[in-house]
Amino acid sequence: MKSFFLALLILASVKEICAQSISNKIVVSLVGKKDKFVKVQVLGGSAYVEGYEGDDLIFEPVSVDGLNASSDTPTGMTNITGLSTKFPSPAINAPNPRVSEDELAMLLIFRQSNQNVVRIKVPSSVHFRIALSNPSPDAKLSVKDLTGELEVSSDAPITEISNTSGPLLFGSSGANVGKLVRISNINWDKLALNSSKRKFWILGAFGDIDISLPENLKATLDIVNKSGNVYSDFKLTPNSQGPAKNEKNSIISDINGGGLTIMLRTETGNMYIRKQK
Amino acid sequence: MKQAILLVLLHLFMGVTYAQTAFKRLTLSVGKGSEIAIITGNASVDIQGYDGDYIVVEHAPARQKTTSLQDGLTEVALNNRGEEDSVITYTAVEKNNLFKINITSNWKHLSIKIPNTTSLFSIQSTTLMPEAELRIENLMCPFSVDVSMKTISITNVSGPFAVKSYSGKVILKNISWKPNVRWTSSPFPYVIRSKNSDIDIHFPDSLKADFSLRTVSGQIFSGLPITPDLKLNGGGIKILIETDNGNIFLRKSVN
Repeated sequence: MKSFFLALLILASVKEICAQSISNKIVVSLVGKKDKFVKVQVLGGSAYVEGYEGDDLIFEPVSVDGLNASSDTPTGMTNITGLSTKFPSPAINAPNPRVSEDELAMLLIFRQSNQNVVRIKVPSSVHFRIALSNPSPDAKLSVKDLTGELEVSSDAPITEISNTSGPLLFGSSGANVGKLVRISNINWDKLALNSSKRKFWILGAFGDIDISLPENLKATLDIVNKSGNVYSDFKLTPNSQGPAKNEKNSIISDINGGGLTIMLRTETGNMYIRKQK
Repeated sequence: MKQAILLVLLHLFMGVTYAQTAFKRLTLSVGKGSEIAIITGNASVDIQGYDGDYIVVEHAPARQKTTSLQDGLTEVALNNRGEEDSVITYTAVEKNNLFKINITSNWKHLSIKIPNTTSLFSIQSTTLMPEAELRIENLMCPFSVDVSMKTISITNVSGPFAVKSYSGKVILKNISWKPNVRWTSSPFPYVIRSKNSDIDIHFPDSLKADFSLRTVSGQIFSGLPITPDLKLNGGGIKILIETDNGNIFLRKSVN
């Protein structure tokens, strides 16, 4: 009897600190840890990140139309991948995700094959960083419904960010050309109230930036685009601030008299700044 | 006297170097059977093989690729955006019938003509322009491509060839595959490699080929009757196709 209760106690405490695998879901508790900077790195595949009102980080493999390459055999063709020589892929060893943490931050590294898609549910108010590493043509990162400070890093061809209200820093990684980051439905009113100095920085590097802004938003657009072009249906003309005389390929422009600073940078992509519909 | 001899010897060992000058249209005479190696900068490039004796480099009209993303939007003027120069500058070194040419220009689209009597043509380019494209057409000599551009499109060529792409999609059509040719010391006269993009190749029904297909994390799709030992029509020309993160599409040519 004593052994039985002892075993129960041990099981209960192990459940507190380890990621749980329930069916295909992996659950990492953030109880007592929501003040930490939570960083998730996804290696391979695509990722859909959603904020929610809860206390756990949840990793769940999903099937998304058009994103699971193995289901997208073109008409009239046969998948013959099995006949080919495969270079060895990095082994996905348990535990997955691998978790490490200190007093200030928690890092989770999640590996999956390039054909897989993972949905990651995140308590919406945490200070959160998501990085997706997968430059293959089918990869996609989607991030939405988060209210805390957010950092996004992606080398996927398509990244979408929507319905966020905290400060945002986006950085495109990798040297592939032809990437696109699409940003829409940001809660600008809440963001304007945030005391952070770095409120909205989009650093596109080698890709396009497509951002939708409310037509009546008071903002100052600080734009540098070294090789690509900038297109807009706002009337963007240089304001009295500058840019500095020797600053090339740039413009600082106010919309609706100016206000919140939105920084947009890209080395080689185009920028599309549009009125939100 | 000694100094004069030394100078002559130095010139012979270093080959002939062409002075860098600005041109609107660059024309360089090359002998039959010359080897040509070209490096370009930040521009889309069209390569055409032709029956002539000159390398010809000139400005091509910019491709006005409008995407649906631009619909309803107007281009915004940026501060101090440089105008395209209307000149081409180059440095070229010719030694032992090999022409190495490094082309510099602010133009975003170049046209280059290469004689089909060239023994070996190679092009190297890393451009980060969002819509940069390399097109090779009507080239009937062996060639090598090592570029990073959004798209690499190769049509109506004979090879043998080696194509290496970092992140641009590779599309090959109307290839006059040659049996019994060698490509340096490799057993594969035809090599197509990409790191992060798809490879899409059209093959005639009648082609006899031995494929070597490799991928790290992509998929391979075929519309051809390839046997489990990767032979087409009993096997023949050796073709190596490999990609790290892209997919491979082997299609039947549509006439």
